[in-house]
Amino acid sequence: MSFGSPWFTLPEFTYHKPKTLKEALELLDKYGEEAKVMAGGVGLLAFMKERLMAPSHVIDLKGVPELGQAIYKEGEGLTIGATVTLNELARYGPLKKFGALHDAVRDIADPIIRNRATLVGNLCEAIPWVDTPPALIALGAEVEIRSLKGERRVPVKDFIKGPVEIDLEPGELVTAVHVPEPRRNSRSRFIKYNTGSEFALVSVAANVVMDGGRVRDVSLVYGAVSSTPQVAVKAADALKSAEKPWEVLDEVGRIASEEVEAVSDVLASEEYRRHLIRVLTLRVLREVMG
Amino acid sequence: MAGKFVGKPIPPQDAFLKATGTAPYNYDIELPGMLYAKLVTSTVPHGRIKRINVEEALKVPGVVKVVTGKDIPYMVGMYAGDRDLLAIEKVRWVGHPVAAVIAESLEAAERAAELVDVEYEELPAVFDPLEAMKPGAPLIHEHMEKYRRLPVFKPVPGTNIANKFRVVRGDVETALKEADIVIEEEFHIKHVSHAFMETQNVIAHWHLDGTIEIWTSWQNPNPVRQIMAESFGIPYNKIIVKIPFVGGGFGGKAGLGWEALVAVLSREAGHRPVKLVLSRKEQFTSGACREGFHAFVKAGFKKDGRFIAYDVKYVLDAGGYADYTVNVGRAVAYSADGSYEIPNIRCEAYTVYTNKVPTTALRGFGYSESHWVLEQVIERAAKKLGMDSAEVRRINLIKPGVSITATGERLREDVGNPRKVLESILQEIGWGKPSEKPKEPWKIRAKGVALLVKGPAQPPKAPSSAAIKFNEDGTINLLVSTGNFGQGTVTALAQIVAEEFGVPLESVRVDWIRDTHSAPYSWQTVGSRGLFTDGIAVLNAVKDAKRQIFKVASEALRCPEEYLELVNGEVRVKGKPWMKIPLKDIVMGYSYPDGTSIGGPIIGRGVYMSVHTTNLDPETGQGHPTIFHTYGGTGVEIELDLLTGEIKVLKAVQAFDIGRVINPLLLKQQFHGGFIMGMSIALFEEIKFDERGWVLNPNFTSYYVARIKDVPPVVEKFVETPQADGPYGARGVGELTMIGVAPAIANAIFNAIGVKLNNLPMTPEEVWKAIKAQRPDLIEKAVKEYQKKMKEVKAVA
Ligand SMILES: Cc1cc2nc3c(=O)[nH]c(=O)nc-3n(C[C@H](O)[C@H](O)[C@H](O)COP(=O)(O)OP(=O)(O)OC[C@H]3O[C@@H](n4cnc5c(N)ncnc54)[C@H](O)[C@@H]3O)c2cc1C
Repeated sequence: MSFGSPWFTLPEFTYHKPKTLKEALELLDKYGEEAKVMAGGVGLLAFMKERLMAPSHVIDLKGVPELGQAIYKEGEGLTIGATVTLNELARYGPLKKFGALHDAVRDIADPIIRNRATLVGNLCEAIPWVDTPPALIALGAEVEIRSLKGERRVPVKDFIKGPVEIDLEPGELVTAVHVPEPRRNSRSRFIKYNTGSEFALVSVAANVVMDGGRVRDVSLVYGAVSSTPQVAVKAADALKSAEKPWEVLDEVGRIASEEVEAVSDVLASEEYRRHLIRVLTLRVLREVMG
Repeated sequence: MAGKFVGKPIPPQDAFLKATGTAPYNYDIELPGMLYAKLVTSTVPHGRIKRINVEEALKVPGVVKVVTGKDIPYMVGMYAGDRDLLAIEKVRWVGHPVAAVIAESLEAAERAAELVDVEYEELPAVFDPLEAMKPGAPLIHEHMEKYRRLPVFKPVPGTNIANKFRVVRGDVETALKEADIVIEEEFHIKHVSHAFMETQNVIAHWHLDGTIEIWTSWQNPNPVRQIMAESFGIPYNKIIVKIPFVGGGFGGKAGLGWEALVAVLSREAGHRPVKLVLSRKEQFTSGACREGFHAFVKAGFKKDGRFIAYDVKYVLDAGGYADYTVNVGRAVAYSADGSYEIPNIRCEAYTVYTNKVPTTALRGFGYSESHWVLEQVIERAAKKLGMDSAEVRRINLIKPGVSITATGERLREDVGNPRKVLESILQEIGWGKPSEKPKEPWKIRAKGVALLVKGPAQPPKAPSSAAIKFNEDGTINLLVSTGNFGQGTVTALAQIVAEEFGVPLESVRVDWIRDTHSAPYSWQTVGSRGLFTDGIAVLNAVKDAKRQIFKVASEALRCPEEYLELVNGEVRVKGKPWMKIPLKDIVMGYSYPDGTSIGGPIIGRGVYMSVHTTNLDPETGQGHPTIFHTYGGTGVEIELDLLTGEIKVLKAVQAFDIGRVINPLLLKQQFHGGFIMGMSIALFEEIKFDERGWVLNPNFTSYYVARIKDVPPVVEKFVETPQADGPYGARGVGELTMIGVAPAIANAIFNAIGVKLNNLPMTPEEVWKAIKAQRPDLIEKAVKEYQKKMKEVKAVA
């Protein structure tokens, strides 16, 4: 995927700023495939500038008050509305309970971008090297989707279908992301390896449930390695079945580095990515198990 | 001479406007009635243009005209003369401008540009310069013998070689046989971008009377005028080039730009002003960058450390046009010997066309490349000889007044003191003392050093001039055309004038705008020459103005000139300070009490002309290429993460013999800025191409540039060995401060773990690959160390 545009201007489009969710859904229903919703616009406008997207209708969600809240309920979890910015979320106290997401959100780009960009936008953009999807998947988050026809919920893991491809029909809108209450004795972290720019060459989120000296459950999710976030199942199994998990960390990293799909692109070769998966696995497990 | 202003840390005169965001850059300028141009660029790397359909584009409201190469079949250039304004019959790289849309608004121009439809007949393309040099390779410029080039350049018609240049001294073959050890290596450097903040942009107005007015973001106005006048056959005085504030140049705004194209567009659009601004992507794909580079070396040393033979072949990947890069191909060869005396040397440099983006000068051009190779060769040889590399450097260092360079130039006595440079770096970096052990055992720390020398790469005749014009109140307008794009040269020039006349610094003003009409001529602002050449011109202008002032004062004070002096802005009789006339009463002519007047408005003029520089022999490269040699070097202490291959510079030392410090603040800024740029190119920067020559990372999210968090503390060491013909003894230094960084870092790694890093940039992946290929055990050991450390942490917790 190329980034960088010869153009200074955007393609022509009509701008809408609905005031209610209903109005937004009606507009989406009316314009169908010709419409794109806009949250922060950080991704959308860049894509439009590059002519990778050319919607004739842009529906700005920032005027819809009910989409602008992050709410944590003890025992239920955290619900993040579609226009909550990354900085609003970073400042929201309860986010700390969700270690991996906390790490991911605070590490994105820079304060100026985070003032504008939203979590839901970051997720819906679905470019392979964005940071929040691996964290959301490791935490078992779900996407809340609405259209005039009704509502549905999809795990984030299934929501991202490919690069810049999500499980969303014309007329549908993501209203929020829901992250369930972390399990007892669990701990999650997110780490990315980047150099020269903010974009990760490889990222990893780990969510571990400890049980005495053993690992009862673990989720290992890798970002930026392939077109979609990769869940390492065999590596997780190896860690769970180990009597002395501290002894097998490199083994786990090796398994993960062989098991997941990894590609070569302009940022890194497949070979180097697989090596980084091994190294980052060590690092993230050190953080969550320590 | 410690002066009132010379030698003082005076902030650059343009800092205030820049810091407040109010400085007018070319990008900010708009002229009444201005139109906007947008380029349509090639989507194939090599092809014949079959058809350009502009009908749909012309229908877009606001479009004035669409111009194609056939309409304006000019060839332009500074050195090789090999560039068309818009592709005439064929395209030579992806991004080659094919057509330009002119419209009333940028929106209309862009919309229409998307609708221009070009059909190509693709031709076989070649992307690797080593392939392109082979007989039978697809020809990129079939008729290069017809180009209007500078005669010193030697293309090889019927091939893709845009220039071939040789430097030969002594007998390298025999010396290699006599050597006790021979180092044989290949080195490679990827293409890099100048990454200036302000992309190239031009406004041109071809007036009805034939006057061409140009506003451009460029380093110096005179080359722009020269290229246009020579290409169009127009008298020089009909072309007025104006340059306001410039957002960075780094050599990328020195040679051929877009001015000639935009001027023609203005003419084609009914003589209205036209503006062209490159987007960042266009800058990467249609503008010119630094060439790709390959070197193949054999270096022979004696057991005692003497460097006796150096045989090197350079191949430069110039891309679709080689206009300035043919000169890079000269500089890289005549700088091959660096700071050392190597009695037997043979270098051949080939500047080769490929179907990739065109290339040009970049800060320190040629010298960065030759030193990347040479300084590593020294390090490798030292290890093979079992010697301290500092000692090998000492043994081979040039001796002022005695040594002969690769081009056969005997170095002047006051050329500088490279020995002192080397020792000050070694001392500051703590050479010989092992680095502190990092807390993380999977990391290592190491030290490395590289020396360097550079002079301005220029033709033998490259003069400068300056004028000093007084105003009614005694304040001074200093007129120069040397550019001001961040170096601060004009502040230093103003310091010199204030010093010489004893007036406050605020009394001397250099205008923001450089222009070809009212400012005296200066050949180019390149090669770290500005303060040296234009400084001498300014000093001569001061002398000339003073002569005129003393003549009038002598009459007015009725006192022979030799008894007069200029102190604090007044002409006084020596020993009788009460007998005086303030400058303001002289500089517009002196009036006696009865009103009769003598003299007149004072204008001082001064020139600089290069001394003793010559053409280089076409067969052997022998001669005197540069007006000074500034010696310097860089020392670094680095930390390498063996797990990721990431290098972090912990500390840097920069030492240069600049002859005389005119402004220590500006000098420090060059030392720091150059270090950062050098480190960025060493560790991060690389333009990546796919197999069809498309640039894959034409933007700053995937073309990496160092960030502020990557920057270590930089220690500056000023060495001052004045050069008799420099202004106050000063030499140039601007570009040099980046040249030693990359080899110093590579040498540090080689010293510590014996891993050779022959390819730039040394990105984490590149370094990891090198370690994996040469010392895989180190990576496995690092992983073990990491696990061990984790368990220790766990045990404590
Ligand atoms: C300089 C820079 C650095 C960056 N660095 C990082 C980084 O380090 N890590 C990282 O992860 N990202 C990074 N990004 C990407 C950035 O974080 C995302 O572009 C941003 O989070 C997108 O959020 P947004 O609110 O602006 O989304 P928008 O641009 O508004 O939308 C993005 C996409 O999602 C769709 N969309 C948005 N909201 C909804 C919704 N509610 N329902 C359905 N579809 C929707 C839009 O139609 C669009 O296609 C960087 C971007 C820039 C420019």
